[in-house]
Amino acid sequence: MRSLTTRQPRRIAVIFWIMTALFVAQMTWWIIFQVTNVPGDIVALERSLDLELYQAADSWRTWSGRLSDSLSASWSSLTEGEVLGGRLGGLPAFTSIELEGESGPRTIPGSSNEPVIGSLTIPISQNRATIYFSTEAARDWLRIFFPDVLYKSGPDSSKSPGDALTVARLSIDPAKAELVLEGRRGRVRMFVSEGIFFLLLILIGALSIHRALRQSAALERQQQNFLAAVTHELKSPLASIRLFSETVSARELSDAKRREVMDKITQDVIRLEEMVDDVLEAATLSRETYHPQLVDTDLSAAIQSYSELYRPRAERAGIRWQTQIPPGLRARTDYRHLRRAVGAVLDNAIKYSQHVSGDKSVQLGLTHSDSEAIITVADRGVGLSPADQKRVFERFFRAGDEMTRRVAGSGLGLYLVREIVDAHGGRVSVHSDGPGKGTTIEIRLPLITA
Amino acid sequence: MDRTILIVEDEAHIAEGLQLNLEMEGYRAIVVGDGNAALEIYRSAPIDLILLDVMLPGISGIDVCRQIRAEAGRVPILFLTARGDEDDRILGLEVGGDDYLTKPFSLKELLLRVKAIFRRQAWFATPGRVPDEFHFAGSMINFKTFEGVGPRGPVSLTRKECMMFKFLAEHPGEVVARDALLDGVWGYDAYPTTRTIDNFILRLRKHFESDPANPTMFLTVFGAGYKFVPPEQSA
Repeated sequence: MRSLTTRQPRRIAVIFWIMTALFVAQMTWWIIFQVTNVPGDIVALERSLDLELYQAADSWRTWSGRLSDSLSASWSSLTEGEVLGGRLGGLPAFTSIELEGESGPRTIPGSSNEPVIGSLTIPISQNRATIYFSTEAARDWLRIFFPDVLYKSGPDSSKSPGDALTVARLSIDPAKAELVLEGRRGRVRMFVSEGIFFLLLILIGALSIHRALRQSAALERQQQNFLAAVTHELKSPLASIRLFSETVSARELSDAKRREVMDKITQDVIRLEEMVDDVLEAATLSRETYHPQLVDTDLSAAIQSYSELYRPRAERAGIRWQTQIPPGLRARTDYRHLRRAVGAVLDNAIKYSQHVSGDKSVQLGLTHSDSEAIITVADRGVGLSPADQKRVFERFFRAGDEMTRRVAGSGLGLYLVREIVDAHGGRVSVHSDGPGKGTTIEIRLPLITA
Repeated sequence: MDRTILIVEDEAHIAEGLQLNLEMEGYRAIVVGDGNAALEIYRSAPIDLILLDVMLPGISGIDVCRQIRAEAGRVPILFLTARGDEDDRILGLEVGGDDYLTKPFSLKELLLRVKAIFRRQAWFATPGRVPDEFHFAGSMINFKTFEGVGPRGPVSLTRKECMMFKFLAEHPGEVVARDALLDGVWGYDAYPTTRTIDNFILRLRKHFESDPANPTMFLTVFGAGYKFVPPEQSA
């Protein structure tokens, strides 16, 4: 079972990170794909607008062909501009038409007075006609049929008049091009921002799942630690009791030795009792329904009496026991629970001081602020790392490794302290300058002011 | 001859109880409370048996045992621990422990096992029908140095593996019942479990069979026990 529980989360974590990597890769690919394949890509755009240009030029030539046919048909009766307007639908405004035929040259004035910028000469039977038109005329015509194509420059003298309006002189409307390009940039922006948003979403999700996994693994470890600690704490005194009681019944012992052995049995029974109490107390305090029976208590006297309970043990372990307890401080407490809380803190101070070398001391102080009584227990023991300080009040938490632990305990002591102090409306905090530098626990309880 | 037993136990009461009883049985008993002290004493004084707690301050009992075996120490080690699940027992035996007792234990059983360990050690140390260096099918095992050569090169064995091999080799071709094996190797039949014995057989196969999955020498006889068939007999 042990091996299962340590292996399982690792496998889950591996699967989880593979999934996350796949999601991120998929998302990144999507962004790249979308950005590189935005419609309105500059090449595609140019291609489509070029096509428009060619179509415009082509259409111009087609139109000139039609014009030629119409003019040929109505050659003899051509008169003023209004006649042309009627017979040659779609002809842009023109400046004039010169007809050159067997009957001699003839000029038909057109409808526009603008300067002539281009001409179109078309054969009519054996003769020819030259249509002169203005910039405005060309623009009008283009605007109607090809709104995105601009007439760019004046007549190109190198071209024959028939090609007056050629591709060379047509161009894309920059406003239109800008619009298309802006659309493209907009889409790129959208995909990038959307992609980054989803990437962040994936990463945040992944991180929170990762945290949850880690927390559950930590909880699992704590519970295993608790199980190991409780097993050790229950079985050690049991083993000792069994060993001594069997010794007493199997061996001939002197009266003194027998008494010594029986004393040890009693000590182990007490230790067992305390352990069982701790576990049961933790179960009781964890319940929502737990309410302490708070009564007006002489806190000074209570703390003084706890001090006397623990002083002998501390002094046996070579620990200097210093107290500063002014009389007369009162608080509403549940006496039994308060004794357990303060007792657990004192017990820890002794347990975690007794094995250090050098000056060993525990200072128990009682002071007060305007509204709170402050119980301080400071030791010069093993201390706590900053990371462990954050966790000492968690249930089952114990610093260090269960297999090589120097100090016995269930990991319930400070958890019980916090639960009890909370139920009293108080606060408990821990401070240590680091491993080897001692620990200070501070309990604050609401004061009853006279 | 006074045998010296080193008690490595951080629970003062248990250590005192063990010391009291072992001394009353006529052993010399030394008590230490942590793993490092145990290693120091072991290196400086002749020790005949170590009673080793698994959960110790400083370094764990498992690591103490590993360290002793790494230094080629052959002293028998009896583990004492509060944790008694199967994995823990197998781990204790794999790192070279000879036996395992779960707390709380019976005083009688503890003394019985201590005696059994000394008795079996005496049997193991006496040359019997099998020479100290035993050759078979191109392989070799030395019961004195716990070294061997298998089809895949040199191997290093634990005491219990060697004892088991020696016991099987003393009865070539015979079916050795599980009870007989327990009695012969451990000295009593209350422990270990079938799975632990199987585990030892598997390890012997791993050391010496050309194909451990299809053993030809270390055979399981279902419902009866185990059989060692030296190659010249199997031909």
